[in-house]
Amino acid sequence: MEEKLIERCKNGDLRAFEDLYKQYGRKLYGLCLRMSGNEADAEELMQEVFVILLSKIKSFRGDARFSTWLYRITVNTCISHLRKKKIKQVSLEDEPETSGALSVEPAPMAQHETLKHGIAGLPAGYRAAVIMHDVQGLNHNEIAEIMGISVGASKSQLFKARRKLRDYLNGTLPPGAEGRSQR
Amino acid sequence: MADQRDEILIQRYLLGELEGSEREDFERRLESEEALACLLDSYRSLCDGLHLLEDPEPPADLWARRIRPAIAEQLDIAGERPNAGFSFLEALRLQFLKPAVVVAAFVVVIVGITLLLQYQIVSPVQEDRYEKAISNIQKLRDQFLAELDTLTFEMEKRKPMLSSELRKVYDQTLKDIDESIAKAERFYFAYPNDSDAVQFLFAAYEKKVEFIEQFKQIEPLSPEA
Repeated sequence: MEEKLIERCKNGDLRAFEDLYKQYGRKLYGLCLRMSGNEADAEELMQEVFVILLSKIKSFRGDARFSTWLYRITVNTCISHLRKKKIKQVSLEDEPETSGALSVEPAPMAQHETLKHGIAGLPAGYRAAVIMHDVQGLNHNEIAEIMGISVGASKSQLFKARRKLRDYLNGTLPPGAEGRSQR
Repeated sequence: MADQRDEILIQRYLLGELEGSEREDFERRLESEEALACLLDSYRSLCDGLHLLEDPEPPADLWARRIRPAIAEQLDIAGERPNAGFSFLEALRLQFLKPAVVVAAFVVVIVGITLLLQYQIVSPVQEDRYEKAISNIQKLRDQFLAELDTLTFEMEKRKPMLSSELRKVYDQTLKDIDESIAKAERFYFAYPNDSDAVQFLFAAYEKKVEFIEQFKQIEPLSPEA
């Protein structure tokens, strides 16, 4: 089924791209939004991802799973975008509500907002790892393939990301501080 | 302050990577070391919070507003102005063969073109009406696509009952028609307010409906054959 869809995309069938969008749009948009931290950039990234997809799809030979390949394009586009824009890491020290120890059962909505803020302050590689693993449920093998790194490196990125988020939630470290020195 | 090795142990524990004696040792330590247990709780809470973050829905019009036009532009429409694949006279001939289907399709084309021509020059006052016209054409297109999906599905079920030669003709012709439709759609998405584009698009859909309807009339092979 997916092979036919990809074949139609290779033939320049716009409806096939629309079908792909219906299938993967939400996941990709979620990734773009969490990576960029704002809706305008996420929309721009989605557009860029699909234009790149169009230009590269003829070179897709099925060596990797299509979803993995598409994720790789998306992550690379997001990271490249972040580098270009040199997005300012958010200083979490400016957020009074973020200080204080993490409760074991925090109010869900408040924690959501704090987490989103914390994720936005992580360096791009950490951010990608934590979004893909902890938010979107990909495993380390998939993340390693998508990011072109080893499984060990993927775990390391995730561990560091979680530690920074935990420190941030505990109010002991603004993740942006360390993030500035990362890639 | 937590030992970095303990943090790594905790994260491996949460990933289910600790096994055997390593896991037993760790769990023993959790019972006796309150700081370690608290640290584990804080990581658990973090992971639970992250799992609860859902992927947000993209804006409903993101595809139509940004992505589709960008792809259509990249497809270099100018070099691929579609050929509807058959003449108007041929279309008329087909219409007489299948009056019900074709009359409906023809009405759709005429209504679409009329709406487009009526709203082609857009003033600020007309803008809403123009948008409505485009939206109506889109709805008609959706109806056509739904009908095509149904027909194609029905025909796919019948196909195994046809001779291999007929199946080959069916597949090849359908492929050609689909290519015409793909070109027509690219043209339409690039120039949605161009009456030629709308005409090409609906003519291509109509061609496919007509073709499948014709094939549905063919008697299947008898079981003995």
